[in-house]
Amino acid sequence: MSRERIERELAVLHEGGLEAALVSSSRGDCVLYRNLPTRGAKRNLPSVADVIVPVPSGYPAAAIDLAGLTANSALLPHLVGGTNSQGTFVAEGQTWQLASYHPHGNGGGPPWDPMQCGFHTYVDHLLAWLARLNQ
Amino acid sequence: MSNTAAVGEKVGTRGHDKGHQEGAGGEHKNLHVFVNNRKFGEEDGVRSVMTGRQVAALVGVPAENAEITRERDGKQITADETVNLEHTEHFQVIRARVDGGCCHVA
Repeated sequence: MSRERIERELAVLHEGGLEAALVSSSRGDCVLYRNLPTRGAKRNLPSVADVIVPVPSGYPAAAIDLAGLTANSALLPHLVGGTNSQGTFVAEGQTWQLASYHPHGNGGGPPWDPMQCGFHTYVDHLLAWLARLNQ
Repeated sequence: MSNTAAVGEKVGTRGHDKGHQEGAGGEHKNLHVFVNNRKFGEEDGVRSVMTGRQVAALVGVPAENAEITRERDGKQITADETVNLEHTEHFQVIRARVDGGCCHVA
């Protein structure tokens, strides 16, 4: 993992007003994005959500994958892949559940390119994920 | 350097107006906007008037698969619609297609 690279990527988002940080968890390093907008308000679901994304072993050669919410989030059943848990773990004092969401693996995003993609571009896929709610 | 590319040494401060100047005609020099919380400037192709397609292209999403929203008023911008960009304003561009491991939302 290139910590310096990830910190630079997160600084780009910080400049744009988004809080995101590298955090430790029981399954290794993760990036925690704070207060991402959702479209849940019309369904009485949260209008913002914190999203956690594991830093893959071998990053940046290895693709970023998956996305998780707090395990008790009311949004999870409404998100694509949200009912197909990819595991739970603890970070920042909370339990998180990963959804089966693979933006760079036939999830709707482009193929992984370590020269173009990173945690600063992964937010594109998280915003799309949180906007496209199931029934 | 585009923010779509890998992040190199271009890491600025949080201040959106850093380096901002206003020309004699009221146009902004060093015009920049934010798309999905990433900063894009004239070197990335930002102009004072752009189409939705051009805005979506800043984050690499084909306009046919993009939903483009101007955050200051929530206006949805179509691919061929032109908009006047305000300095430092924010847009959200999301993909229309999102697939999970077990289901799909069109």
